[in-house]
Amino acid sequence: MPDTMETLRAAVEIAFPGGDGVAAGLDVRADIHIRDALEGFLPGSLDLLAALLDAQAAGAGATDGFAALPPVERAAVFRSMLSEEIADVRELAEAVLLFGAGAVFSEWSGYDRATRTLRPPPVWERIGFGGPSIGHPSYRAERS
Amino acid sequence: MIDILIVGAGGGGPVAAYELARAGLSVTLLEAGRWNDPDRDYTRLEDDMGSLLDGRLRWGPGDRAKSPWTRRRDGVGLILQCAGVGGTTLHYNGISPRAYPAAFENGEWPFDYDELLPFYEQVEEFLPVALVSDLATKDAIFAEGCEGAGLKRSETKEVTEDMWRPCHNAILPIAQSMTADSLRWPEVDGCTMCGHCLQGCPNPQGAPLERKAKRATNVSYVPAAVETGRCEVMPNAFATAILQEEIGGRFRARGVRYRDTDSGEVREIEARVTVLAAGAIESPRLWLNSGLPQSGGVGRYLTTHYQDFVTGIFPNETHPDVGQVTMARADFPGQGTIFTQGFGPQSYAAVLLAGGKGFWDEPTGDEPWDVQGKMYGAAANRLMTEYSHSLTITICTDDEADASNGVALADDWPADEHGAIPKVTYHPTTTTVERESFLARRAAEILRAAGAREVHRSNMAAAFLTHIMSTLRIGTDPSTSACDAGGEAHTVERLFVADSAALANGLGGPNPTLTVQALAARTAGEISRRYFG
Repeated sequence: MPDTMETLRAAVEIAFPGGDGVAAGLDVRADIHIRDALEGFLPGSLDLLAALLDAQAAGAGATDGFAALPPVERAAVFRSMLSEEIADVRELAEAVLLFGAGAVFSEWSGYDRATRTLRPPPVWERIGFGGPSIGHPSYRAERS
Repeated sequence: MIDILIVGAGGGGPVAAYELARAGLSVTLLEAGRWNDPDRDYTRLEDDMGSLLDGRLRWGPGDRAKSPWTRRRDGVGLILQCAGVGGTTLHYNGISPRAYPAAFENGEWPFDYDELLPFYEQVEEFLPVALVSDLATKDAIFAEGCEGAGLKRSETKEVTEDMWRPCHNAILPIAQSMTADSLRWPEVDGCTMCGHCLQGCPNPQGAPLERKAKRATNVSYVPAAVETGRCEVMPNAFATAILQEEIGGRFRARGVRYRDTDSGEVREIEARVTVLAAGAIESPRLWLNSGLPQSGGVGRYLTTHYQDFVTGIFPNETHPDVGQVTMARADFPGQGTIFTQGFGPQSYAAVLLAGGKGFWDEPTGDEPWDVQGKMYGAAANRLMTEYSHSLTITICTDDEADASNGVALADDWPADEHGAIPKVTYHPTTTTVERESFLARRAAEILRAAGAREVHRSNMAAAFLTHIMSTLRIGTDPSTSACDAGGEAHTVERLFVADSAALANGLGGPNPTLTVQALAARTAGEISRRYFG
């Protein structure tokens, strides 16, 4: 079986494939952000997520784990876990979406908390977000 | 011994602290989180401020290298709480509507709406609460949609029929002299429309606390209480037990035990009166961890607003990151309320992608939205690229109270350094779900009437829990409430509740902070009258 980070990266590829000017999750290290969040809330939950993805993949006939599945089958397994009735299981997959989105769309990939240096992620310009602001004096003009 | 010990410096505690201190009583205000300086600590960045794991406004110790505080959940997803002086007012929208008067007419409140009116007025004047005088783009689009959907405009504070309104916000009026080169205090005074209400509002940059635009309690009631010279604020102090004694068969509170979250030291403070204001999860947790005698309302009847989000995509730019995050709302007494929701891209992504029941590619039947549920992959990318053309509406449902929803001590999880952790249970009633669906349909109708070319419903189904209320509610019947009409525990003398836990119900759907504050002001008067008259 692959290691847990390889399994997580395989899930991130499905959830955040990139395109249309939006960076792929793996290109902004979303896997690291998700790992840190999962382990920060509950140590061991990354292993549990990977084990559950591998188990669901095995249930679908895979022998080499979730990460070895072709993309279409990986997507089906990931979606199945997102549909899980048991909240504690479903929420692990939802965490991939929630914290992955945080990595892709927030300042996380370009902000150094220690020095407070911000390198605005390119996706902000793509989606039309101006970044942190101390005010918008032209809000009326924007409205018209 | 001090006169008053208040546990929690969020929305309600500081109001009680100020009112009691200015009445001449000595007050200590404990707060589990840190005491932030807006100019120093607020970066306006979504993840740095709002990350549930280690954001500055998270629910956890002041040292962000430490893990957040854990709670067990049954039926709910993420619980949005905030530690720190200011509590959830640090990341609230500043929306300050009064409750619907009809919410006082079903027998759950122990007094009439009119009884609360002078306290509403008192808080509104103090903060101050101001009627929004102009609308940002997103809110103007919403207003156009409301008119198109047949709703009439009103500026009333007392809502008894369907309408749309510019908001009454605890935000200073929009600054009048803004230019791109002049956005710092004192060149500008008032709201700079920066769009960062959810990240703590540090603007205008350089302004003293009393002129920071959003009137969270850390810049309003807390400094005012300290200014009296009779209120001490103790941040990083997590209360772990209410001290009690039994006198003549009656229990009486005599202070609290707390833990310094930096040093780990445990200390006690004695007080003539103890006030719980730690929020609708931590206040009942503290009660239960203290082994206090219970009445029927302790930890039960949790209400929330069963929030959902409906998002429209428009042909033109909507500027979702500009302006006070909520400047217009629509009211539907008997069902709930809806309002515009400004977002940065991370929050936008969270409500569009991560929560919700169902998936984007499933049929929506006859519903007025095109898409609902979770999204990921190429579909999510496409909707995210529409961010600057999006308008999201937040739904707050008139939640029907149910005794089985509440806060208990988790028996399936280890205790943390502050005792047994809380387990939060919430399952909406059928009536609540029907009301939420009604509001989602009206929101979609408004978006369509405003010209949306595509509508997405998040269908959150309690994936996020905010506006948590009523877990130590006031009432006349001890079998269904925790406190009497004055906010004092039925079963423990000299123990009062002055936070959202005390609300008798979900107010009909309006955002709860103003009512929490009005009730806290009323309770402060009751404390003075009963024990310091």
